[in-house]
Amino acid sequence: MSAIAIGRLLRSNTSSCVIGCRVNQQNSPLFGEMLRIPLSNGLQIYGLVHEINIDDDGLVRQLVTAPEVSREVIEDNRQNRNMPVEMSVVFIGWERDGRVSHTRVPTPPLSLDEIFPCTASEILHFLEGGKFGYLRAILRNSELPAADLLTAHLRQVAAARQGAGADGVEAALREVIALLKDDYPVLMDVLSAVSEIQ
Amino acid sequence: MPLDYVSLQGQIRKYGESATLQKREFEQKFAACRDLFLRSANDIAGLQRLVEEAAARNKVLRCAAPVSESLDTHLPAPQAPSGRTIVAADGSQINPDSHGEVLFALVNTGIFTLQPGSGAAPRTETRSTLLFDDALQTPGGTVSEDLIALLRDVRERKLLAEVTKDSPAPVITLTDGPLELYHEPRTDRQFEEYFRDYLSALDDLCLNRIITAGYVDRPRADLLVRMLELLVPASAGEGQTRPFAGIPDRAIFQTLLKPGERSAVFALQSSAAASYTGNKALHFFYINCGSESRPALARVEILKWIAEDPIALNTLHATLVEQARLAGAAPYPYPLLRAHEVAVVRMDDREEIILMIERELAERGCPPASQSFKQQNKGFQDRKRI
Repeated sequence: MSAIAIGRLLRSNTSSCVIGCRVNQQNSPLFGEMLRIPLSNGLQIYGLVHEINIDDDGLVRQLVTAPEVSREVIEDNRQNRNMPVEMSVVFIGWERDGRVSHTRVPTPPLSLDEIFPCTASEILHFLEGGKFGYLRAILRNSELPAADLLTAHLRQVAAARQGAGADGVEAALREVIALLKDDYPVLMDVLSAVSEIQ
Repeated sequence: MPLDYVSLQGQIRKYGESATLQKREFEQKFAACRDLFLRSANDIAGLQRLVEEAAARNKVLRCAAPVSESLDTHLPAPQAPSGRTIVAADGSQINPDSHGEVLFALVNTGIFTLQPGSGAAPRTETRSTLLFDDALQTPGGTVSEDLIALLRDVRERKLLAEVTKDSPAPVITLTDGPLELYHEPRTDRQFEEYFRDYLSALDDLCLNRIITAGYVDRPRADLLVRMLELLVPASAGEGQTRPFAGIPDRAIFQTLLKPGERSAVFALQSSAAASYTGNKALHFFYINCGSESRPALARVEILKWIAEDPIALNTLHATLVEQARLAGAAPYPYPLLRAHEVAVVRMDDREEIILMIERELAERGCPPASQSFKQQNKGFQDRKRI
């Protein structure tokens, strides 16, 4: 069965992108979820959702003042009007000819490229291709909610690994501790957030 | 400095003074007018006769004529029937620009279809027609903006007739503005041709029992007031000063109609309305789609068969109130609001079309002209709308 795209690319650079998708989609990605963007040149880019925005406009602001908003009006605004949910994605690596790299992507995806959610096997395939080198990019980017993003990501990683009978997230945590050994406050933030993972 | 603010300050003060005087005059006239309205509210036959006689004397008489309900009728919104389909249409256009790079016009029509209570997402549709070459020429030269606007209105009506022809009843079609295309008859051949198409679309809508209405928000019409003026002997003749000039019908209905209520239905007496014959004869009523704190008066133009069919009239009344309330703080039928949003052509759409035409011409070895020097010199400031 072929994968279903969850949205298309709005804008990008070599470290991140913003994608748009419809509000009502059942399979809308969650915060921290891993996505992949296959490019036409054979490259595949991996990323994590780190922000989700839903914009308003004049009509929506007016409609909220109505005593009741009918189901049809809600569906109209969600499905027909030009207001996609915008999701910001930070790139964590890329793949070409089956070889994965946890480094900055060589070329950004293009407008309207399709975006797919990663399956458990795709997550494992990506992790096996490196040694969590992408964690550095996440932890050192002051514009990202590093602790929360890492927690959400590691929760997905743990689920994928456990489903495959593999270890949990210890290796990732060791890498986090190594990267943050000189930044105790941030390390405690991250470990405290990550401790929520079962 | 874009404006002479010093001189404007004095003129604005005079405007304010004049408004104060007019307000006082308005209040006096309005009291007399409303008094006459209430006194003659039940004299339906007498008023009908009066309008008939005045129309025989004055061929350009334009006013309301009572049908069967007393003038001061005010009826609450009935329960809306289930299983309705509402189809709204709106149009916008790009007029030909003789100073532009390429000569073309465009008519864009937006259709919005909603089934209240279905829970389903409404459908939106856009139809765009490019006009070029012969379509832009008339015996008098390049086609006028009036004619493009007429074509836009005709397209709206024809599309409504087309998309509703197989829909199960009840179907309500809404457009913004009156059903009557223009107040004075036009004699130009092309106008006549388009007008025939418009009437034919209205015939189709009548035939299929489609409840067709034109919604006029904040109406300025004084059709009822002009009818009342016929009761004032001194003003009955042509060339006489109008005793209630400046009073719109809505001033009367604003004091009469509670939220959700409609007025009596009136026939439209006018020379242009005479073209709308049989079941198409134009009628109208006023409606208050607002709330206690914020009345929203509108005039609704309908066809004769709807005026004579209480079920169709009630369906329309209930639908307009229900749909206007969906729009929240600014009551206006939601389907019309969305049809406009779907249809509107923006400045960047216009520029995109020009680019597409230029590319096509260039590929065929016909490089387009540049803008006129006048247009180039006027184009230094960004324009946001057409």
